[in-house]
Amino acid sequence: MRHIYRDLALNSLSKNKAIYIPYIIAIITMYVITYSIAALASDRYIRENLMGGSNLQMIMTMGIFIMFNVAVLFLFSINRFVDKKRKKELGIYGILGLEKRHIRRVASIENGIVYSISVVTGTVISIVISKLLQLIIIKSLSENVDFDWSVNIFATLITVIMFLIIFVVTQVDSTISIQRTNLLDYMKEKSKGEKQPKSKWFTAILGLILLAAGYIMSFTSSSAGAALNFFFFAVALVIFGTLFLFQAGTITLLNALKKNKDYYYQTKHFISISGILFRMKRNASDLATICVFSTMFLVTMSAAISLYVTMNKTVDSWYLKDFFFVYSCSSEKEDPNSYVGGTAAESDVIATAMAEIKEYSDEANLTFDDLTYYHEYNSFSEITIDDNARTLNCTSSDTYNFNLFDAFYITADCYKKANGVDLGLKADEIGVYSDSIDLIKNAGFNVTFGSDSESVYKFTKVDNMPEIYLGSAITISNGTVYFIFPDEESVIKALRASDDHSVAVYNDLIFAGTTSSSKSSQVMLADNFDEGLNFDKEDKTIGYCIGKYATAKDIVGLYSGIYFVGIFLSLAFITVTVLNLYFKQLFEGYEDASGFAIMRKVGLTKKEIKKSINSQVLLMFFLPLVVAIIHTFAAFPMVSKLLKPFGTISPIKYFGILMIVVLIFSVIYSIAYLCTGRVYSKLVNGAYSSRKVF
Amino acid sequence: MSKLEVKNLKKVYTTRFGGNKVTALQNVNFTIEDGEFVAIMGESGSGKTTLLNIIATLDKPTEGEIILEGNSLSSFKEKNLATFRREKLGFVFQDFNLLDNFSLKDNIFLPLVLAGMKVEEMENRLIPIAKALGIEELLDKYPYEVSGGQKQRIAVARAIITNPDMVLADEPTGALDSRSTDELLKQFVNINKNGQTILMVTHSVKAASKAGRVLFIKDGVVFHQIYRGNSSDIEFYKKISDSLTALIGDGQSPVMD
Repeated sequence: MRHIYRDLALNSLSKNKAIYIPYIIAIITMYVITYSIAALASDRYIRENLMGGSNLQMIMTMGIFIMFNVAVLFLFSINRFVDKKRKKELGIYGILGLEKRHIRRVASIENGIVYSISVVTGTVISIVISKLLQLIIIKSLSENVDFDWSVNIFATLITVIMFLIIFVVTQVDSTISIQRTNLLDYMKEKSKGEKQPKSKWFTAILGLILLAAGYIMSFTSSSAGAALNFFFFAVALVIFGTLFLFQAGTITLLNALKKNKDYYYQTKHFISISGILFRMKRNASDLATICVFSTMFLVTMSAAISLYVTMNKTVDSWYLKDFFFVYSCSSEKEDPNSYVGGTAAESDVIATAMAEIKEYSDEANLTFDDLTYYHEYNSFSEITIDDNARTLNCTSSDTYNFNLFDAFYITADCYKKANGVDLGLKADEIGVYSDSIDLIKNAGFNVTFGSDSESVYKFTKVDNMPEIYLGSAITISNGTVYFIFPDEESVIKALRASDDHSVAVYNDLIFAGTTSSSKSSQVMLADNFDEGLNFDKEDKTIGYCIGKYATAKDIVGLYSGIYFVGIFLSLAFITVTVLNLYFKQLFEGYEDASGFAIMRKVGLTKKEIKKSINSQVLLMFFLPLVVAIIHTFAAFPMVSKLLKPFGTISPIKYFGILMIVVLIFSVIYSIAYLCTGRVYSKLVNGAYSSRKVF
Repeated sequence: MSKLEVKNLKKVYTTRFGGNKVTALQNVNFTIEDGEFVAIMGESGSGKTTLLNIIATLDKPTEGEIILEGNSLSSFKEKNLATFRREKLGFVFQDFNLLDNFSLKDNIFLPLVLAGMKVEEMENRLIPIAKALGIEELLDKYPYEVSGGQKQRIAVARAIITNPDMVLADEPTGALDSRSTDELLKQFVNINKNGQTILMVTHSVKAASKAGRVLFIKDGVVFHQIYRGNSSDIEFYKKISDSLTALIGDGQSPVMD
């Protein structure tokens, strides 16, 4: 008796291959994606060797649960489709005398076989893919880490458990559905009419406004700070705008077209408009999701590649010397007297620092070709420009606004020491260097600091600031500004005047050196120095080290990790949504077939039907892609501003990279479309030609 | 010239692997004159659906030919056949075959739209038809919003709006209750009175009794035919019943009047 159920289940599986094969593929795909995320989230290598690895893994762990939810929803809805398709068969069993509990048993054996195949195959594929991913990360980020072939037990276990849960959930759903349905109803496949989608003018217009607002924000962003500030808001606007436009905009537009009788009652338009209208009603959210994820992918990918290809150049532009050792003499905002340079305390710091640097570099077997030091005072400052009075005022501040700058105060002497150039400033002149054009264009204005209206300096533009251009490149402010004072005394005076005691003013002693020693020595020095950095030890001065080579490596590691996660997750979600769309098309194909059969009876040729199907499926797939590409280019001005602080990528180069990424993505996407389109039209053609017409 | 001539029609189905041959029609001959309302009756499997499919150009005969308005159907290619179907023939099906995604009006317009007709002309054509069929109120509704009888009237409107040479009806009352059946048949008679040629396949004696002539098919052969002559519906109904009884009884052709 037991064999009968098994045989019935196997029989049904092989008879309905057309449904079960894509179903199994869908489960396997979801399985592999979930497994890969879990594997990366628990990967020992990422945690131990990748900078920021543990943070990434936290994001990834969240990714597992998001993925789990997506998988539950997705497979649940596919299961319902499949249930609908196999109901007729189950109905026949019922009429042949199987009781509901027997039918339940057949259905659960079917489901069990499907999931067993999927989980076993999925695990094998997953292990291969996750090992491959691991290899890619290791190879691209680091040279000498051992690759191990062990299987990630955690990932395997958690994925198997998750899919066991999904299996149980879908099984329960099927059981309830079998229990509820009258056996006779199984036999009838009634096509219930669907409500005609209504125009939603309000939502459509709202979507348009949101999208326009997001675009305008992108096109009008003026600086990196402003871009960062508004980026996520603009992203949110565009996401909601897209969602509304897909859901309401398309339907409203199509309904409007429908009202235009001369347009609507043309052979081509007549069938397409109605077809697309219903497709949109059913698929708008999916299409919007694909669109949003594709945009995220395109933007992230192009930005990541841009950063990656220019990383070394970028770090070069940040650090013109190989090593910087920064010793803070004081950073206590409560004590304005501590700014003073040239004191006995400062001499102590210099002596300690020199000894320390020597100790560590000897240990790392590294020699400096040259080593100089200079002062640098630094605080966040608000710069207000009065065009009428032709003055510019600088006051320290910690609240973000459009006028906030990262301000550095240095003496002409230090500038000369660090740069080898004598600016030849007079006592009432101040050298100003900034990356902000808005600021630089005010050359010739008077410059004052804080409430001190007595010392007034004349704005002299300084074109070059290479040597001291340090560490401040990544800033959330609108830019950096360097004030070069004629002497030490005027620096202190200006600092005291501008300081409103709300933010820390840093008095840094910076030792800058170049070396031609090996890279491994450089990494060793940087590592050892940072390890030696111990605030508890009284005999150590608070100093830290920036090694250009080591930093570049860390930054590449950090950003590669973040981008990798971002790209991987958005690719995973695109795959899932495209898969979902594919399934909807597949199952709608069965429903559409009867409609096309009618049209054929009324006098549409096979060719016309095929054309109509193709154009509709084409639209379904390419609408999200086209909109995503438009979004990506609309985001271009903002993203290129965001990339600016990271250095040297030119907008043109970034644009080129963007184009390449868009192109490659479009090609991959088109391949996915071709596969789906073929299956769909085969389905529709097959279904209507095998159907008896009368 | 006859409206439709069916000459020596033969249709043999071969099973997929060429094993068994099933003769669905053998040597079928009949003609339909312009303005006739002809019903074809026969049991399931008698070949009447095959006959209708071949006349509708949806299936090809093994032998013989069909001539509609002097044109032999076998001379058309697939592309022309589609045009032929929508211009020369109107279809009414048992299960209505309306498109759920279109309003009833658009369903009626479908063949005209496919023919590329202007909107005004479509509207002009619809007015008298909608009035005659009593569907003026329904036009803006959707198929799922109306009853089976109403759906079938829409299907009739769709069939006749192209001014076809002939309306082919396949069990048009099969899915209707008796009231809707009466309504629909009355409309068929009216359409026929206005000069429309109708060929209807049916099981129902009641439906057949509205026709001017009934052909009986059995085992792929036109077995017998009776004309209404001057009989009333009731009398004709009785004649058809008698013929059917005779058909089942001894397989011999009953005595013709």
